[in-house]
Amino acid sequence: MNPDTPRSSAYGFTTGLLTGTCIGAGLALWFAPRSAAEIGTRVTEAGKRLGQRASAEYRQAGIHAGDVVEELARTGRGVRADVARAVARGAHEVERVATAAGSAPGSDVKAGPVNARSFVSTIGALILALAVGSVAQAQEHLTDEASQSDKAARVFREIMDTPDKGIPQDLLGKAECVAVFPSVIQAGFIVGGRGGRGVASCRTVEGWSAPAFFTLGGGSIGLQIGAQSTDFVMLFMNTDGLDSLLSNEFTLGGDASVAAGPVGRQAGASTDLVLTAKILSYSRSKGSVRRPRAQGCSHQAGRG
Amino acid sequence: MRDVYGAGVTAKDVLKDNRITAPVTVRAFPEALGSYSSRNATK
Repeated sequence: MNPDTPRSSAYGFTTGLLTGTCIGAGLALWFAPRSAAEIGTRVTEAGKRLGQRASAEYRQAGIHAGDVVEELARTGRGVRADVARAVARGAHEVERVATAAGSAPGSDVKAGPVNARSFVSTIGALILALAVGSVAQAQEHLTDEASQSDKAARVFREIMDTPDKGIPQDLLGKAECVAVFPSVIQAGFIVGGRGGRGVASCRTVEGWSAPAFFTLGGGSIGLQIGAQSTDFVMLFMNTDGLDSLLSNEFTLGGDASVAAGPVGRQAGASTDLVLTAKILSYSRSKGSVRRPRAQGCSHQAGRG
Repeated sequence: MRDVYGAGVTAKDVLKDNRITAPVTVRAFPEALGSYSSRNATK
């Protein structure tokens, strides 16, 4: 037996191990770069494929979008064409109606396309005329009531400024409301009538109130002949007097609560008549009416 | 009266409610009254 035999086996094993390690490492080193390159190549190729696919999808989406836009445009053109056809039909109907109106018996309007415009213009002018007429009528009423207020103010000033015959200042100072009915016309032959318009204003905590407008109307029966125009000024000494004015049963010249007011320097504020009267009446007349019998005159607020 | 103050306004509203103001065009009569007697009503 050789004592070197185990030593030789160990040496051979070590040599083989080292050789195998070297060969394995070499192979690993040889293969490793090629795998990285392949991975890189594959990644690059995958990126290219992805880009190509994205481009393809984008082109497809563009194509679809173009189709959609084109479809919408076609639809829009269709709607526009429908609207145009509807307008044309409407115009045709208007023209047909206008033509029929123009060819009606007794009409001097010539038939033809121009009549549609003439018909519409006529209707428009009619509506405009009605609107202007309404505004003018309202303005006329306002002007009428302004004239009424002016006339009442003038009559009141004239009566107040009449020397020794005006309304006593102390009585006017006690009045709660004042009404003036200028130019109340009374006329008749046996059966007479009376009519006029008036303005009233009352004291408020801030001065005289806005004017309220009244219309008088009434009649009388009896032996009478002639015509008379009378200006009436009435002082309402308390709220009861005002209430009687506001009620539609107030009778001008025939109401028991109305008393003829003292004038001028007859400062009759202390007399029983003035203290008990709800309404003091003042009047001045032009013309004459003889022997009026039963008479009454009711009023109506506003224009009725 | 409707043309001056609008619809629904009565004579009582105009005379007793001092919140209703008169248009300038119809103020001649209240102004004439005020020039001869300027006492205001008491509450």
